[in-house]
Amino acid sequence: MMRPALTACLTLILTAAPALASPCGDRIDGVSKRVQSEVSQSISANTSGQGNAAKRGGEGVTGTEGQRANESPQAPPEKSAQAGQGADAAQQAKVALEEARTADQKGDAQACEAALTRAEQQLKKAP
Amino acid sequence: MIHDAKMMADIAKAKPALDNVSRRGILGGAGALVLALSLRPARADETQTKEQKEQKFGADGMPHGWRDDPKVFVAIAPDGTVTVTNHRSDMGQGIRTSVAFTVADELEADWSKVKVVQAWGDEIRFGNQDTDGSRSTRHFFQHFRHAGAAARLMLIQAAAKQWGVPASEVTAVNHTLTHTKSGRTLGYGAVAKAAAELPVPTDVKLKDPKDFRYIGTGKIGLIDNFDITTGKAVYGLDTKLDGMLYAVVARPAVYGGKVKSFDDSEAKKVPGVVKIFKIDGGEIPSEFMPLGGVAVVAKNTWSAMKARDALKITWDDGPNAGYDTDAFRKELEAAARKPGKVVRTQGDIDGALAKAKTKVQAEYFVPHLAQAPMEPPAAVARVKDGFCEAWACVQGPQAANDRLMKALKLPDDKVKVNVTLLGGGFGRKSKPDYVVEAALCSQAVGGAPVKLAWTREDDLHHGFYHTISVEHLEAGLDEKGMPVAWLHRSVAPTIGSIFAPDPKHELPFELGMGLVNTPLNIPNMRLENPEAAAHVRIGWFRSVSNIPHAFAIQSFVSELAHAAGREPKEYLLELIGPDRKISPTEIGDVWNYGEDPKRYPIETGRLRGVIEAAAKGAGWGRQMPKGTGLGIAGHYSFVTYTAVAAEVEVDDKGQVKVKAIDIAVDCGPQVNPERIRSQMEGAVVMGMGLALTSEITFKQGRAVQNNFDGYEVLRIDAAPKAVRVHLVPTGAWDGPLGGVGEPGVPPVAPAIANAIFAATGRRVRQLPIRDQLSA
Repeated sequence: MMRPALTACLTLILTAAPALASPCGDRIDGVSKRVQSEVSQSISANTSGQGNAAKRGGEGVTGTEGQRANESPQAPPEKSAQAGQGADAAQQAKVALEEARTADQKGDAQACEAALTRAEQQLKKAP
Repeated sequence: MIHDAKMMADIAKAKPALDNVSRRGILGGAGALVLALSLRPARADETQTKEQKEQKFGADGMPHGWRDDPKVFVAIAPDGTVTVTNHRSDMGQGIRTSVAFTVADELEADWSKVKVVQAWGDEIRFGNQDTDGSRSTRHFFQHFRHAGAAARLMLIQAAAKQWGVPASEVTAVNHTLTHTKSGRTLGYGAVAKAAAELPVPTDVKLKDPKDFRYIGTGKIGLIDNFDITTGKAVYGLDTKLDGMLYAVVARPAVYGGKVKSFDDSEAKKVPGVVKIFKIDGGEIPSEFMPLGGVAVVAKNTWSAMKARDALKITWDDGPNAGYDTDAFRKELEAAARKPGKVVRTQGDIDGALAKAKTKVQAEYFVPHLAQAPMEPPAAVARVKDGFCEAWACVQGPQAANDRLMKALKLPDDKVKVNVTLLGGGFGRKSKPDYVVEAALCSQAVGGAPVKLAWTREDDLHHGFYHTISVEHLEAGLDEKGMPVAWLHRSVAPTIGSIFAPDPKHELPFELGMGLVNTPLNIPNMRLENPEAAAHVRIGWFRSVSNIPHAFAIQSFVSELAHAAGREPKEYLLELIGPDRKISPTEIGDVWNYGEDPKRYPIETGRLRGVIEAAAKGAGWGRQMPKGTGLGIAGHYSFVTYTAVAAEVEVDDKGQVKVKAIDIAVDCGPQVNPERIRSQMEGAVVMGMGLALTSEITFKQGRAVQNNFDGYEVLRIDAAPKAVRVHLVPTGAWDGPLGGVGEPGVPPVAPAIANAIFAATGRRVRQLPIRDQLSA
């Protein structure tokens, strides 16, 4: 029969173990949901045909939104160059998230946290 | 009795003042009819809540969305003739037929009494008209079903009212309305006018698919077949108007070039010349606007061309004068050998590569291509009294409409674009620069209609080319020969470069064409996109970036199979892995062809299914004679799954002969199997052309190839004796529809390259193959 003190000690270790093993893991889960949502949002924002996607994407990544705005008036107002920029940001957030996962699995908490911070910064860029 | 086609023409003329036309007046004038004219419907996004706006996919998210109003799309004449308005451009894919029989099926119309007319460019009225991205049936099938079903219900309601019976006692079957209790009958034409006055029902029941007469049967031939085969069909080049003049343009040979000066004294001496003038241009990015140059308007095309030849133009070639594709390929290769922007990663690629038992590396090259539709770009325009009307073979009439507005500084209600048949498009005719050129010519001569024609040389010299790309792949294999690490660097100038100055990286929609959404089951993976500048106009070419991605990935998998000593088809299937659904959101694909990631995940079982079907069709595994081989490739594009098994023979001089192609496709519900087959056959021919012979090169910024002697599309003697199309059946009719026009192209080239390896042991890593094996 196990002594009460030992039982309590094991219980404490077991319950504390996940948190101690991966403090970055909890953040990963939270950021992951936001990234997936942003990816889905980006698909929606880019749902307007290849021409508009190219226009928005090109303008989004070069910051030239509006220079030729009157040339594609068929684009709905919510589908602007910002959408193109948002798609790139969502994709880069996903990349950073996966880098965080890999670092976490390797036990590199510092790299994990840094990658998650990059992911969050990318998410902030999204419109 | 008014002929319904005339009526449709009258309605067409009413644009742009359609809202002001008295509906009662038109109906009264007709004396009968019609389910044809309604007030301009509200834009979908004007009627939706903020929450509904937040995420839209598919047709919902397209500019101006979709319409299913039968009063817009269906007209019924007193004699019962049904006229369906098709708002998508037909470039040989047969969408006019598919739209018409979809409406007719739900309408319970007799197909022999159905006609189709082409909508003019008006997305407010018809919904989105951009005929690209393999989306016409995918986006509009259900909406056209609704339009037909609503019209059927309105006819039933009108008949019931006339008989004084409940609508539930009336049936509509094959153009006949029947009161089931009394046996009385009426034709559709007899109640069309009364039906037109009823409100469009909102609660419409679609037919049970088991009752389809036309949809999915594969028995409906092209509705335009007779006109096409007898020369009556009107393409862009066929449009003729009274008093029409003809024009050609001398454009800068180098992208971004400008006219410094020109001497037209000799050109003016050519009999028939009416006007010579400069068209502004030369801006980078060009967007869809003209390149500029010097236009010649004459009384006939020959005079215009001769005068163009006589022009003495001094050009400023601009910043792309040094563009040389041989040198640029080396730049791309250098970029591909260094780390680039990471666009997808999973696992520890560096660690896995370091530990791998075997490493394999390869690079693949795909050159610029030209869409080269058999009918070059052409348009007729008349700019008179502050109104521009154009007739053109365009994939995107709204895009043409918008550019005309910009070029002529006219409001939307002063521009109208009529859409002819297209003698091929392949993405080139999504860009309406030639329509703008025609309008500028008409304006310059004071309003006479002008036909602007591009020669084949114009088309090959001044196109929106398929990009040029280098794909660099590395893999680390474990002791069983399976990859534990996969590195893919894809480097190519982006289509975004025609919209923004020097964007450097490919855009998500390009990366989402077979790169980021690679469905291979590999634990450690990194996909990169190094920088590349654009020096020519880059545009969409049938299946777009799927071409280089599929060529590289499917060739590389075959190379890995060889390195592992494995049978290539089984290796490919094992690499795809078990049946599963991959959400685009889980792999960071922010494109997904614009479709809902929940409704359109990547289904690896379907990809495996088409590979198995193509292999079975080709008799995969049979003993092959010396010098022959079978190769296989599968690819997911435009939310459709395709696979190709190629049988090739390579003679002792290294000449490649493709003997047979088996292509399998799973595009979800098969609305028009006859057209799916023909689209796959056409894709095989186009895919073989780019695999074997097609290439555009540049020297000093200028396209080298002039005509089909230099830019070889597949010729009849090179076509395979057998092209077998295998339609893989899928589930219910309410399942997700996939694209058809483009997905057949990507797996063709890698399947041929893999077959060549099987036949000869020699690996082809650059396209076109031409005489590489004769060296």
